[in-house]
Amino acid sequence: MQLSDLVILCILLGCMATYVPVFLSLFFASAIGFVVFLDYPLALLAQTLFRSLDKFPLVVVLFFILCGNIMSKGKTVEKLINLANALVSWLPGGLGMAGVIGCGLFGAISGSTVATVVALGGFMIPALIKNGYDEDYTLGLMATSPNLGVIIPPSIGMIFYSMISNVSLEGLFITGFIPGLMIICLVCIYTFMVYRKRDDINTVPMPSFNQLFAIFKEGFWAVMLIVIIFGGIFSGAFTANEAAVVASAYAFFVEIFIYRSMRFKEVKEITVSSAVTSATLLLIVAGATCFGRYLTFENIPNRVAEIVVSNINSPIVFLLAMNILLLVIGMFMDIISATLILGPVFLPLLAPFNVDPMHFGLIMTVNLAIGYTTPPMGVSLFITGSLGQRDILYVSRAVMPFVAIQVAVLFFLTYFPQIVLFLPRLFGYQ
Amino acid sequence: MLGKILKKIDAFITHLEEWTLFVIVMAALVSLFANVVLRYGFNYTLAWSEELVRIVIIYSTFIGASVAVKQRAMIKIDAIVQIFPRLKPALTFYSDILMLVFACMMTFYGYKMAYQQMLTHQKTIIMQIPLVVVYSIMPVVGVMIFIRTMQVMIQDIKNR
Repeated sequence: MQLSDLVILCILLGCMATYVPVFLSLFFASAIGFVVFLDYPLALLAQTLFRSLDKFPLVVVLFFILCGNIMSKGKTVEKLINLANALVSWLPGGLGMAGVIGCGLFGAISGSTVATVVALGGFMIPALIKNGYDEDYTLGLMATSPNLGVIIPPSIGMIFYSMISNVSLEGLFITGFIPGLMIICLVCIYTFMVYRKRDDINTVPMPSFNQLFAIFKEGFWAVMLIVIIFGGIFSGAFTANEAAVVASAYAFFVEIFIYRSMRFKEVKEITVSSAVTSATLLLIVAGATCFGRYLTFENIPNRVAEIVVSNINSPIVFLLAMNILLLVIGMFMDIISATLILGPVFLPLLAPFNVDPMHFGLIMTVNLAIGYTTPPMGVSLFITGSLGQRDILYVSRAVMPFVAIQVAVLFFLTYFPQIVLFLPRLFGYQ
Repeated sequence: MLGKILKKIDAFITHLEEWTLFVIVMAALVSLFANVVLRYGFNYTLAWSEELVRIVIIYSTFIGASVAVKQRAMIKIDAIVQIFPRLKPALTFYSDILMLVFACMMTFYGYKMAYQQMLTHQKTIIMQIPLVVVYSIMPVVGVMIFIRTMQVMIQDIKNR
């Protein structure tokens, strides 16, 4: 560790801690590094900033955000929740299960957590409480289940990881299914255990075949969207970029012409707000590229790798250390900044410990997704708290059992790479 | 009087930002979608669509940055502000100052880069758009971010 590294690290963390936008912190830290320690012209940094955006693959970010926004502003969310309800709500604790399954279905369209919390929480929290579910269970469930939005593909976190690591994005997407399904199943089992013997809860009778058919027919267009995204990617017909574009076009088509929930004004609003959201993310990409430049000029990733490799000698300890580190970082930083800033530093560590980069991508994504729901700084906790009118402490306690489930899944994934990599290998992604 | 003029300028910039974003994103969507359809239906690819999309990404990110400043939508780590809400005004002021510095740097270096492109008369490969057009978004947005940040700061001071 040299003095210059320490100074830059302090500047970066200092800026980020003091409410300076993340991309600006990255930009200034690298600017100071360039001028003071490397003696390079700032024009080079400006070039890097511009060039980092001149990349075709970035388009996937814009269109998956657009697609998710169209869905959550339109009627698709409602249809998906109805579908999930029809499938499980006659079971004991069924409405709770419908909540997590709805998040899973929505997660298969949307790539971000915050959109999922707002879209489903606003609808499910009042419904659950009205039907007699405990408040802490309700808030815990609806704060944590939206993590499936990032874990189940398409996932913004995975998109950025694949950009920095050159792991196939389609392959990385496929790895997300197993943890997603595991979390859904475990939460359903937990719900069943809690509400099995309770009789103060309203359950609905099992729907008849005709009712089920009617709901399916209504939700058909929404489900087709999921089929298009995954059918297209898995069959190899579309790249992830094209899937995002086709899904956005299809979503607009369905919302405008079939559900008739949008007019031109809404279309424009959604497009603009999606462009702004994607701009805030891509600026972090640009900032992180500048900072990455500085790191490579100073050869920092390799030096970090040397230190770690000389101190840790087993892959098991290494993965454990990574998990704990990422869980702690996830408490304070959002998934995109963390992936873009830490990814380049962690990637050189994988080869010496024989960790597959695709496996590590999944670990990182799930891990940082959990960070959305861990106190003190979980975005989902704040949103759910305001939706349920409870303070952050109450929600933090309420999420504990669910966070425990997700952490258990995370550790399972960490130590069984064969299971994680089974599906992508099956589809031929290395 | 001054307030009225400022309001008009604000409305004008907002209009410009929103329509540009809408039109370019839609253009990218349509051209990429057409590309997929043409490839499967007619075995034909639009060579220019990738180039167009790259320009759209650059433009939409920079213009989106200006909107994000105004809407206060920039991604920040708000740990300290959540714990000590009293620090928020001071920290916001400080980060706005940094944003102004950034806007000035962007204008200055962006202008230099665009000027360089103008001297060399470079054009994009397929669509033959002069690169100076692509690069000049940087100084323009630099100025826009400067205006937007000033606006946000004035708002904060007024609401104190």
